[in-house]
Amino acid sequence: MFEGKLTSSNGGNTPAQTVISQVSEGGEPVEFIYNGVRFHINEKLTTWLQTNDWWKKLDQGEVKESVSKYWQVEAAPIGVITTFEIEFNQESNSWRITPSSRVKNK
Amino acid sequence: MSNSFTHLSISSGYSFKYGSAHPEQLVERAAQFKMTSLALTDQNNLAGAIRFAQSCESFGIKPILGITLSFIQKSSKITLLAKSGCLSSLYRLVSGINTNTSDGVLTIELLERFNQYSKNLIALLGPQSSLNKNLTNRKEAAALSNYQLIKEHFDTVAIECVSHLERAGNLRSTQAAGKSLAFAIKHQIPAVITNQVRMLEKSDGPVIDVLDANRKLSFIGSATVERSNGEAYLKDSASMGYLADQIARAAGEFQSASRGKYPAGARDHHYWPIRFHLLLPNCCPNYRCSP
Repeated sequence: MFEGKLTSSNGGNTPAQTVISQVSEGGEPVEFIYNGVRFHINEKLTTWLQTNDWWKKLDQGEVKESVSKYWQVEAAPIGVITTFEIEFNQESNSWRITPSSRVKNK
Repeated sequence: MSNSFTHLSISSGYSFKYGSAHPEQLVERAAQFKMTSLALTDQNNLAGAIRFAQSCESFGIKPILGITLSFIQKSSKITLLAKSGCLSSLYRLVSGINTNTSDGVLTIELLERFNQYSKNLIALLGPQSSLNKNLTNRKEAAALSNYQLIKEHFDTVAIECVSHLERAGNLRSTQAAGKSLAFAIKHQIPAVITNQVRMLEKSDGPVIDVLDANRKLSFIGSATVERSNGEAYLKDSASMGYLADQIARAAGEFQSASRGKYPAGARDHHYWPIRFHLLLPNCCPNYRCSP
């Protein structure tokens, strides 16, 4: 589980090698590269909004507040999730597993 | 305007060192959003009521007057709203509290004594209520007895669901709001959505931080800042509808989890009944009160 952060501020805890590689039309993250590995987001667990600590960076008395949107997501490296066909033969009580491509049009 | 939302929890600048906007500004914004009614529920006082009612009149908005008080403990809050035609009951109860206590904290004893007034009021139990604290600590039985203790003292007691889109685990996260909604449905308690408004614009957050630090007589820092983000502003009806959807979905997940028989993907199946239980306040004429 990784916490993706889109608007990467200069806060110290943003992983250096993180790149969002694909974003949906609505601005939601879809795929990202983390430490050189491409991940696909399987499920978005929660999202939230958090403002920065504006009082720590006051330039000439000017208040600059910025808001970040966070997603907590479940993601797996691309290629790890594979579609299989599992067959159970009721005559011989035997199982057979074969890799398969997804049927797109029913 | 059948789809207009009614904000039932608003703290104006008359909530001293708490709210940042003038009642007039809030009413004007509500009128821009074509809202038909609006509540003012300042902290511990009714000082803004007249200005609020006057500007409501000039913008053709129905005013709903209320107050947010400390209830039993200083830190636990209850919001009271006057029913239509019963504003005097609100004033009498508040006068009763102020003349009989030094700290303005409403107690069960005072409720019993001024029962004829509280009977005409609607009470909202929100994120800062002892009921919600018990829910957060997974003490559902204690939360239910919190409700039953005060139910007979008011016309209606409703659970107030608030999401400021904070991180899960926080007081005003969607998950917490969903949890209280699921509790309300389970025990057939009315539930409403509010935004616990403290400011006019999303960008007014730093003002709120200054007020919080000021109230606590401390410097601005992580320890004094109460908010996570700038969501406690006067949102339009569409934004409140979006929050209602999110909270209803979160409540569906809690229901599914507690029954243990629905996989996560089945949560939308329960979604509509839940969404209807969460009263968007415009649907319910009870919540429209005029002074």
